[in-house]
Amino acid sequence: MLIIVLVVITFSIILWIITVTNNFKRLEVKIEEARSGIEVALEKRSDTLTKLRDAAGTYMKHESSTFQKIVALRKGMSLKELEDADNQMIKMSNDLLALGENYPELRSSDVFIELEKGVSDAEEHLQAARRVYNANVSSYNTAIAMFPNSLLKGSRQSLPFYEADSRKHQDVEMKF
Amino acid sequence: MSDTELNQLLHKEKRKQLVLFVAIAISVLLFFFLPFLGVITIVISVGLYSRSKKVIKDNIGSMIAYDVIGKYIDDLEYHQSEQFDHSLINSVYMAFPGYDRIRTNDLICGFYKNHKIRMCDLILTDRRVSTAGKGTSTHNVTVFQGPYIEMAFAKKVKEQVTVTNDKFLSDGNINMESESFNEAFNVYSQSEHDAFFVLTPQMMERIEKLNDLAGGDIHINFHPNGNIYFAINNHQNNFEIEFHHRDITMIKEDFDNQLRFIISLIDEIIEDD
Repeated sequence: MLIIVLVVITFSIILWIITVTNNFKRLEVKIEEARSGIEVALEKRSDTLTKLRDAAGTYMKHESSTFQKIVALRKGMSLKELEDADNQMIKMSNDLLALGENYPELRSSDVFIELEKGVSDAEEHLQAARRVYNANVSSYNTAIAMFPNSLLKGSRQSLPFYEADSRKHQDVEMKF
Repeated sequence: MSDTELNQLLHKEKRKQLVLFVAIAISVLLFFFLPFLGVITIVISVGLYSRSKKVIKDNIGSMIAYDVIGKYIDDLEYHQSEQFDHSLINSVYMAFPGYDRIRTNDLICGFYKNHKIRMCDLILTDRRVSTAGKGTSTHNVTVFQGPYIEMAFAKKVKEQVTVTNDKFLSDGNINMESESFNEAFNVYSQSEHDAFFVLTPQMMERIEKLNDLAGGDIHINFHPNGNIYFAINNHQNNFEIEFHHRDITMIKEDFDNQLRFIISLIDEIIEDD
C-alpha cells in the first residue's frame, strides 16, 4: 500500500514538473515570437519612413540633410536597442510629418498622403506587437513568481517590459 | 405616397381583413352543415386574407421602411424577403451556439456614415432529439435570434478575430491585457497579433459599452475580407415592421425606435468621423 502511495506521489510530482516546465517554455517561445513581431513591425516602419524621406527630399532639398540617416536595424538587437530605434523612429516620423505642414505642395501630393497612411498603419502594427510582447511578458513574470511554480524557475528571471517613449507617441485611433 | 394615403390604404386593408376573418368563421360553421361548400369558402377566404396581409407587408411596409430607414442609411435598398448569403454566415466564425438551420429576412443594404453596411434579421435553429419513455421526439430550438450586421472595416487582418460574451462556449485562446475584458469576453483567433491589432484599448472599451447596451449575447468578427460582422442575440426581429397600430405615424414611430436602438449599437462600434 505504501509503495502505491509513494508511486502515485512521485508520478504526480513528475507530472507537475513537466507541466510547469513546459508552460515556462511555451511562454518563452511566445515571447520570442512577440519579439520577432516587434522587429518585423519596426522593419516595416523603417522602410515606410525611408520612402517618406525620399519623397520629401525632392520638395525640401535644403532640409533633407536633417533626415539623411534612417535608424539602422539589424538582427539580434537587444530589447534596449530596439526601444532606442523605436524612439528614434517615432521622433523622425513626427518631425517628417510636421515638416510636411510647411510644404503644402508636398502635403497634398498623392505619394505623401499614401506614405502618411503607410506610416500610420505601420505604427498601429507596431503598437499591437508591443502589446502582444508585454502581455506575454506579464504572463511569464507572473508564472515564474507564483508559488509553487517559482520553485522550478531555476535561473529564470523576470523580463523587462517593452517601453517606447509614449510622450512622443501619438495615440492610435481606429479608422474604418 | 403620403402618410394620409398610406393610412387610407392601411384602413382599407384592415377592414378587408376584418370582413374576411368573419367570413372564415362563418365558413367553419358552414362546414358542419355543407362540408363541400364550407371547404371552398374557407379556402377562398383564407387566400384573400393572406393576400391582404401581403399587400400590407409588401406595399405599406416597404414604403414605411424606406421612409424610416432612409433617415439613417444612404443609398438604401430594402428587401423584405431577400436572404443574406447563408454560405457567408457559415464561413464567418462568430462562435454561435450549435445550429443546423439559418433563416434571414428583411435585408437592408446601403451606407451608414460612409461605411458600406448590410443588415438583416437572423434566426438560427437547432434540431434536437429528446427521448421520453420509449419514444423519441424531435423539435427545433431557436439558439439565436437578432440583428446580423456587416460593415466595412479599414483595418486589414490576416486571420479572423472573434469576440463573444457567450459563456456557454469554452474559454478563448487569446488573453488581452485587460482583466475586465477577459472576464467578460472570449477572444478567438489564429493570430495573436491580429487580435491585438484590432482590439485596441479604445475598441475594447467600446465593446464593453456595447455589451452594457445590447441586452443579449454579442458576437463580433473581424474578417480578412475587410468587414466587421456583429450580431446580438436579443430574441427579436429588429428590422420587422409591426402593424399593431391602425395609424401610420405610430407604426413609423415604433419602427424608428427599434431602428434607433440598432443604430446606437453601430455607433458604439464605429469611430465618429
